[in-house]
Amino acid sequence: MNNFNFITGKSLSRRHFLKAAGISLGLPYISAMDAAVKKNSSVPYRMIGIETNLGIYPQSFFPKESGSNYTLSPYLNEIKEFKNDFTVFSGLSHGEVGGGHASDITFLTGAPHPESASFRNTISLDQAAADTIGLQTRFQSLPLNISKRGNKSLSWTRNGIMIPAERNAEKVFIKLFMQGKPEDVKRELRNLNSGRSILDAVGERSKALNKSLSKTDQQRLEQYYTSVREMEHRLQKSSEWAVKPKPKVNAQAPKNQEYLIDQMDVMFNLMHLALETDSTRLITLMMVIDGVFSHVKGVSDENHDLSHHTGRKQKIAQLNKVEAAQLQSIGRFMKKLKDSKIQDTNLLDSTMVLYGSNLGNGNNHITKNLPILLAGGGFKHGQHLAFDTKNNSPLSNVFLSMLHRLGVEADSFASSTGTIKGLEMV
Amino acid sequence: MKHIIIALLILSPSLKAEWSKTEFFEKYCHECHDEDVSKGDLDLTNLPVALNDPETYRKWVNVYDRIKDGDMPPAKKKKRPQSEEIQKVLKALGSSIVKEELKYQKSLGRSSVRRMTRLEYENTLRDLLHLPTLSVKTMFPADGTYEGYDKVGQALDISHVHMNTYLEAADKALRQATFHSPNPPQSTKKRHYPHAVGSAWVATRTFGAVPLVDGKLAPTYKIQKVGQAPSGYQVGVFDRKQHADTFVMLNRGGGVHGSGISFQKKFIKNTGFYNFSFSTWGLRWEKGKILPAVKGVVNVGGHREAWTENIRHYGDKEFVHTISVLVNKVPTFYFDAYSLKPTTYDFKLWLKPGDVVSFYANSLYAKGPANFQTLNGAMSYQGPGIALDWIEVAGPVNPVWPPKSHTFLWGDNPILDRNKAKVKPDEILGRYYVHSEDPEKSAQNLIKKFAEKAFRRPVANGEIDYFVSIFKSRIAKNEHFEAAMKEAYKAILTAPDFLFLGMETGDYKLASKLSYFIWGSAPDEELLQLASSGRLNSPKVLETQTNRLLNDPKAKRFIVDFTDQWLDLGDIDATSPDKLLYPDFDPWLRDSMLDETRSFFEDMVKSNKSVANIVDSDTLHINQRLAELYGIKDVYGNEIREVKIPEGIQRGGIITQASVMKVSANGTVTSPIVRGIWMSEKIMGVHVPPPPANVPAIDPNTEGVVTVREQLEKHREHASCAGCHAKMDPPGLALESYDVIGGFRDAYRASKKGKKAEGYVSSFGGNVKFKIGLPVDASGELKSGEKFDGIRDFRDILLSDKKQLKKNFLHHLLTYATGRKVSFADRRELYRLLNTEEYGVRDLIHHVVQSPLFKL
Repeated sequence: MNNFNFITGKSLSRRHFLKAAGISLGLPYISAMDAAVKKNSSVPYRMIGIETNLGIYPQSFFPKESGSNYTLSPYLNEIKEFKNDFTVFSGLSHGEVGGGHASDITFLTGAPHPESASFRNTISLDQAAADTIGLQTRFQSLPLNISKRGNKSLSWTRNGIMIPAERNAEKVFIKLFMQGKPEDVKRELRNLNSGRSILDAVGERSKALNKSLSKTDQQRLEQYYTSVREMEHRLQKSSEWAVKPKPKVNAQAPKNQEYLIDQMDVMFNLMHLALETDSTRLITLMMVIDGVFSHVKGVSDENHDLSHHTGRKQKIAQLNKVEAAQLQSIGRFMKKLKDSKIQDTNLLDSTMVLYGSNLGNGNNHITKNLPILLAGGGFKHGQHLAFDTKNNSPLSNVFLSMLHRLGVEADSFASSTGTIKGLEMV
Repeated sequence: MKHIIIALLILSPSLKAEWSKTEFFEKYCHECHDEDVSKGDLDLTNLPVALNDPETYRKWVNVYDRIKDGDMPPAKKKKRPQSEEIQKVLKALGSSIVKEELKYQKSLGRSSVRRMTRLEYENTLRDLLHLPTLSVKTMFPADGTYEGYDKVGQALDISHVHMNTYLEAADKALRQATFHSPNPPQSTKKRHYPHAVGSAWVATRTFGAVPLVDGKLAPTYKIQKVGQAPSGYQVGVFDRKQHADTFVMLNRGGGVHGSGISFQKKFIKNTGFYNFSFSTWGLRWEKGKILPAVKGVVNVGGHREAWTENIRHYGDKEFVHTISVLVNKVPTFYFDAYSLKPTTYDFKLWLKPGDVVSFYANSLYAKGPANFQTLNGAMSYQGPGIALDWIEVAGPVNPVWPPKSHTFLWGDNPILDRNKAKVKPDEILGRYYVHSEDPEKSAQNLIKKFAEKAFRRPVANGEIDYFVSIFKSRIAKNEHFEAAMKEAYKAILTAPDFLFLGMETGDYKLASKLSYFIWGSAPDEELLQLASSGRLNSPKVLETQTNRLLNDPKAKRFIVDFTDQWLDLGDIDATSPDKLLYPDFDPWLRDSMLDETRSFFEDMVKSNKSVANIVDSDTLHINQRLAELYGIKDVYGNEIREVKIPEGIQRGGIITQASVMKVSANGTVTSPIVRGIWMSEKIMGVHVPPPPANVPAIDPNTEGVVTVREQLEKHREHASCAGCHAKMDPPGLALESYDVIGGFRDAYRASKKGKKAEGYVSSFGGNVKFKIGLPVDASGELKSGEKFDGIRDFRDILLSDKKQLKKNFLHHLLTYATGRKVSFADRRELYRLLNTEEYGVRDLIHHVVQSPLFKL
């Protein structure tokens, strides 16, 4: 099952060591090593995965030329001040992912055939990293969504279960930053403790029952038992965190906004705070924008309706406005990250921001040639990496590069064939 | 891995199975499926013949099916096997596969244990704890599916997310079930006048509604200007403290936010039953005057264009309006509002604090009077309206106190007042708490009783130790009885004995199987008693019980859940129809569509109608809204009733119902491919493999310049596409005469090119903007060579093989009922059931329940 060869995440890479040794020339060997360890662990890498679920109008997204000397497309022009902070990709997709809208839950997993009546999802990019780097923060990961209702999420466990996303910004803020009264903390600890003893009891119970079952059924009970143990472990971690005070932030609890672009800003501000306080290093944001109105001048129609423009000019014009506004919101977020200095770097340079869609084209639901943007996170950016738009390269190759950047030494991810060509770490 | 198997085979030639020695594969298959060509990624020359590897096994089953279905070898091949040759190889291969599967089953055992789906979990908690409206389903991630069904064990994985949610959901349920009050809350009865209720004030202000006094517009009602021209607007002003007899709604949602006239949260302060009654009627609003509800010109006032209501359908007859009651935004009841004839209706709801009840004017337009400054709001509006005179609310009514849910958890332990207690319990937040004089004895008894109900079987004393010890450990930490008990209950509701079906023993297992199949929930007392006496397994008793369960109102859960999964009705809201092309779509139609199919299938079960009704029927189950869509006159009111299909109306069976047309289209366009796959897999029993990677897509276009058929024909010119499409497109083409909302069409609706659309009505208000574009061609040719022109011909083709319809239905029903896929070896049992004489749906349900596959 486990394709990943995890390392502890804290070890000192050779490259880092050499780099650190280089700048600390003259210092005794041992303190150079210390400096490197400090540098490596104090500015960790983080990752954000964002999917907008109705495609991005390809003609306005993809640049015409490839390489570093390319002309910004109309959409990318909205974030032109960050041209050297992002890479735009074309010709990428998840090999056997089809099924139009059904593919929205495989954007970060790459699991084949989401349209199939017997579909099974696989682990998502953030969760593949959570086992390694998630343990260092209060929250292993933070799945969020923007939607009219529900908890649809980009984050999926190893056995293909969705980790529900939170859509209420205020709730997330409270969870992250509101320090409860001493009696609240006491009650929380009591509940965590009680939860653990319940899980312990039902875990034992399942072991006792297991003996009388057929082998196939034993496997089902074993999955139950594993889940019980994993939850126990998580409750244990939560108990440890519960006694530590939550970080203080200089911000009010946000209110959910009715319109798309406003809500994007709310979520991005929240994500920024979560990163700044190092509450988590792994965030996903699924934008299920059907039925959400945009609040953009000149746009009166609903998003899903616009994505099925069926060639109508008046629809495409509105679509262009909505999507340009989305990019502007991303731009505001990137600016916030860049303005947040941490030691000798900034949050953008240490955070990979992946933005894209599961649909290559919202009008025909094709899942090939996906619009993909990767900003920040310590890569050499400022280029359009163009792959074959007919015979696509695996998007999972980008994911594998991202995992490596996070310090997760995986050999492969989903349908990857290696790391992505042309994207180098700084 | 593969290489190891091959190596093993070479070393042990005795493994070579009888069937693989035939020359069949070499003669007819290897040309394409060898190492070099390996078409469809299948290399038969190197495919091991030992079936113990699951992947190899799956491939050979696929080979079997493709030969059996006549797909392989391809028809165009000159060298084709004789039918005896085919029969011979299939027989040999088939028995080999069965042998292997039985061997596998013997060593690993057949799975008979699966966890509950989230829907079953919610139903079970509702029934167990006597909380009819408990909502916990959506706290869980959606369940996976296998062959479209979420009841199949293979799809029901479990993760730490579930464990966490089981704890939270149990906590929520236990809290709702416990009542911290020694006496029942005071029941009150009050008549509310809608204009003074919650959200109605917004409706009045935005011209969503107007107040009447003595049957006329309230004399103190005024229209006020806000702001200056050109950006100014108007509002309707009426002091809500004044009296009004009647509230006339002029748009659907009653105000700008569109969720109806709501009794806001503060109205429901205590849990219990509430009896509602209200009076309503329909009308036509003519610039302040009230006229009979006859359809006509709608005018929002001023410079805006007027439009015409559906006179083509209703003529000058009085229209029956419809009003629905929503509980927490979920449509729960519908009522008819007759023209100028106030009618009083009653309904009863189980509500808890925080629940919101609203009244929604379904048959009105989304937008009513305009409020631009130059217009005069409701006073220049001409159009339909629904009057709501008053709403009476009486409650909470609790037939017993404390309620059943509480007594079930706490027995006769008293509810005490914290202020009067000598020792104040720590964990209790409110004023009251449940007390026990002898906590340990109480716990022992209550936990045993609870566990037996929850585990659906008798529980030995030793088995409850796990849970009693949880209780004791909390008590040891100085916690109070109630708090400690809740933790023990939570543990029971998180235990595998509760969450996994099939853990029951003996006949109790059968009792659970039957009740989860038909009620989606735990067995009741009668089933458990029959299991206890060992009589349930007798065919006669099982039949009687199956009938009893089917006749119970809870069987509705089967009707809804099965059709949701079998026909994809669960996806009804997956797409919203394009507003330009389908402005005639509205929430009333959406709800009616579901009602139609559910009512139709319910009748098939109740009256034991033949599976042939899936594709053809003499009657329809429709209401006024569907009659309007289908073009059938003189059907009034919201209630679904059976109507004989009039001459010339191309409807009949499930396959022409609007719900099915909606879920098999994307909201903007229909695709014969998508519908073809739907028909193949849901109705015809033909599996369609997923498309290969890198297939070119079809770009939908609704300008009216190209039809989807023309686009498809182009697509099929690709040799690699033609094969599969020849199989899956034709059934979809037969349905081309039905649009994305289930209307019948001769021509496509288009955004740009085409004739003016006449006689259509926009449910949003305003003019209809779509055009009548290119003509529809619903003809086609099946792979077998049978030609058809339209749904009637196609229906006849389907009807000519009723056995295939029965086979498909049995396959779906077996998967749903057993929670297991129908395996290759199971096909023998499927064929045995298929060869019974019965075609009636109820008979088939009985056959399935009596089958050894069900009892496994």
